[in-house]
Amino acid sequence: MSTATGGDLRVPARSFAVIGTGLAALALLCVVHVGQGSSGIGLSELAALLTGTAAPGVSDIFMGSRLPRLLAGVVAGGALGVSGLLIQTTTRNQAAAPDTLGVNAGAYLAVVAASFAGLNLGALPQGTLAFAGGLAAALLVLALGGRDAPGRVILAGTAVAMALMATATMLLMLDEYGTRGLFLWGSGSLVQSDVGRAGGLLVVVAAAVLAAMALARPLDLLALGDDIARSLGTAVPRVRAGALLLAIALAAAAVTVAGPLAFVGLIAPVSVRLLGLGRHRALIPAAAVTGMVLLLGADTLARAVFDPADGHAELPAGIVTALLGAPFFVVLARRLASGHVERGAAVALPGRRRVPYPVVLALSFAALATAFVLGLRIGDVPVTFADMLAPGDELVRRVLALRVPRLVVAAVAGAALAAAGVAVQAVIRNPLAEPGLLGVTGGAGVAAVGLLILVPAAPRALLPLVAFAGALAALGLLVAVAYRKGSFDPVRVVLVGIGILAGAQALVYFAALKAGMALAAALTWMSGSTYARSSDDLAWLALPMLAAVLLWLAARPLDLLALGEDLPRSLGLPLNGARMAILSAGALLAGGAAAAVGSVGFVGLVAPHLARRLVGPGHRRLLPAAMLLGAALVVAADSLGRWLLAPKELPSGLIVALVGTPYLIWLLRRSR
Amino acid sequence: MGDLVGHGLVAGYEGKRVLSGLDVRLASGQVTVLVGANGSGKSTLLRVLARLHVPTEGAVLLGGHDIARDSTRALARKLTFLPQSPLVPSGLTVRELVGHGRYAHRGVLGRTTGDDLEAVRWALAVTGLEPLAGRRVEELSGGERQRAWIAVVLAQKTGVLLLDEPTTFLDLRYQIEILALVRRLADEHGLTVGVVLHDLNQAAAFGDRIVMLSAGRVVASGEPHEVITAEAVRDAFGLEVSVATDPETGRPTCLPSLRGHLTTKE
Repeated sequence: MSTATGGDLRVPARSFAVIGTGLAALALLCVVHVGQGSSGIGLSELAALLTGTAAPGVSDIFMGSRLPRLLAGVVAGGALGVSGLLIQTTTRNQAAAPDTLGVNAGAYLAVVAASFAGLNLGALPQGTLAFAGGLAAALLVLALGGRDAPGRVILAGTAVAMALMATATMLLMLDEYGTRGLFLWGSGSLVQSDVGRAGGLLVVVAAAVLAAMALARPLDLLALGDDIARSLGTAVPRVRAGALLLAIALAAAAVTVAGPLAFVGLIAPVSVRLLGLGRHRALIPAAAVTGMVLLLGADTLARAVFDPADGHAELPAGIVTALLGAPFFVVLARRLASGHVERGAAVALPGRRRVPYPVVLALSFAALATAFVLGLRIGDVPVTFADMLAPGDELVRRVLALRVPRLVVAAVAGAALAAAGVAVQAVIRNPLAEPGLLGVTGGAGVAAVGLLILVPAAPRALLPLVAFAGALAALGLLVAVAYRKGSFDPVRVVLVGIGILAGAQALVYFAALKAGMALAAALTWMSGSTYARSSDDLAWLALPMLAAVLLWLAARPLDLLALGEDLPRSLGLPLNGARMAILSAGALLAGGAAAAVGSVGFVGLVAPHLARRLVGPGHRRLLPAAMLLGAALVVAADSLGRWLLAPKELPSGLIVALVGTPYLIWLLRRSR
Repeated sequence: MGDLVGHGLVAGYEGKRVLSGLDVRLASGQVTVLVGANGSGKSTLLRVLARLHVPTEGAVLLGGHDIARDSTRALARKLTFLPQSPLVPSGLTVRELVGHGRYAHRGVLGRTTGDDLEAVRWALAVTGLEPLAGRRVEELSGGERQRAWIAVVLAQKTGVLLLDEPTTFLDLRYQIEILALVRRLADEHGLTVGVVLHDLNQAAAFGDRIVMLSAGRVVASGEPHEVITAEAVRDAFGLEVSVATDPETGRPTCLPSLRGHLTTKE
């Protein structure tokens, strides 16, 4: 049916067919979408508007609620579709999108921060701020990730996005009143208060899409590679910078209208490419229409399942797109082979003079002891050093009986997280791989929240056990999906893990919303908290600690994994069995830690790294050093969380994320 | 130790057959060079011989014993394989890297014995890396790094050594240096060596025997002067060559005939 032939330079019939079908679907969705709403006013009442026979108030509802929401879907969906397309073309990376590059998170944080600072901005200033935030995040990720390393860029993007979202979450938790409405919006929602915001940004988005259309031809050439594009006469740096700025402006507009919507900017452009379109002149409008269809479809679906007219709580469209998009991303990641199985996503750090091992151990232990002692002192009841040695006062004794177990749990959980990081990094051969980033901790979260909702009467003691099972399930899924053609492609593992993480987060929010669960409690758990831990929680860490000892004994296979795919087997290591065993130990450690203290991220990244720089890559020394540093980090985070904004308590997970982010940025910059 | 023999090997990737029923023999204590055009199956054959790729039919016997029945560690004490461009681990010293070659002997929990230390010392000495033992692997030059990789598999103290294009990415001087080392391993240390090379002249100069592959089959095998002939090269590579004898070594050398490939200016 396609009339495209080798010499035909016009847009082929297939493009018209795709765009036409998309427009028809969009028109249908618009009609269904506009008929949904909490007022219960349906299409027949709205149709009466056309003939001028409508009941009083229908017009207000249409203009004040239905139309703005529809417009928001059109503007944000179209903007994200084109934004993702431009990002994928300029980075030549199928898995790149405004969300996987951190643009959405950067824009979101900028808006949350403005609101936190008490600024009440209109649509355009807010959009400009979002643009600045998105631009900063994208530049950071691209500078850190480097070009022509697709897996690395996505990993960097996800890590940066996680950190930015953690910061935004902290601001939200600190200021429950000023930023309350921002939480729903934080998952991506089409709810609008009036038509002004979406209408104003419609102009911006339309202008940006037209500008992108003007770049269609050079963008086609960019797909051939920089050198060829340059030889063919393209001003490569200018085209790339222009397209990227347009992409970020579009993503920022979408965030301003509807918050950080997951995966729309990824699925839309990938779909239109899968449908066989190849030229940007056709890809751009097709991606825009597909983005609109996806977003409006998700919103329609959300309201069809949870009909607001029946009094259901609003389910943000972003959670639906994340739930649908995560499996899509996982399948996409499975198809993507890095082509460099040997090299993988390995990031080599420049060599450094090592510090003698006993010195490192002594210093790490001293750091842990210092953090522990300071942690004992911090709190409402002052405890002196003398009290610690010989607690005379009854009150002091009771306070210490609360603080000591809590800090011990924090320390052991920190050590477990660090060991989990060491194990996962050894298998995936990527120092940026972290159990949290791979969705293992997310799996624990899904299971825990699921239990809270499905079996509210279940004893609390079951929670850690279930969380632990969830972590193992997530890792099993990761391994099952990522294992292909007889080997683990490290890049594939990371990308699949990121998909699982996104899906797990969406599931948690979905479940929490559905059950009307106190969002604050879910948020606190998800952020990782050492609040009110007792020595009972230590039981959950016994098995993980055993796994850590086994890992330490198995240091030699861990070392060999660094040598790639073939050589370890030539040297006598049953490679896939070793990988499975070590990954399982990692899941046990991460799951146990999640069971004890919730999802604390970045420890599994920062502690092993610091240790690697100090004692080198040999795991017999690396593992103990990393575990001591991890323990010190979480104990210090717990203490800081109690001290910074006392009497308010900040979850340790957020503190670690705030410490971990600059470290990660420094690390990525060094390791390029 | 005995010869390494492949019988009726059929192997491929995802329905694409790369080896279609070939027999090959790597004689004990000799250097056997596998040559062939791109896609002829020489690297796959080497991986099958190393049991890194499982053949769909046929078997590989080492000294009459089927290697498919060995555990990974047991096989790694008898036979080893060096891939073309192994991953360079960061932060490891040369001595630590070579120490990894002892995994097959020490296992997960085994203690480091005098044998292990002696094997590492020997591997460093044979490859001339003793002065560089404390250096980091990523600081080494290309030729030094390749020697370090060879030292890793030498420390394994296997009877059979399989090398996949060990001279790729090296300049000519290092290529000769590595090939001379391979020659010494067979002559002075009695190793059975199988090596994939691209350069027919180097194959002829350094190999005891040459196995020439084309489209997954052995088209010629034997001593260099038996295999490197104008007819065989035409069949296997689709290229006209003239074969001469190197006056220094007495081995055949071939020069591609460029008639028909160059335009001559009138």
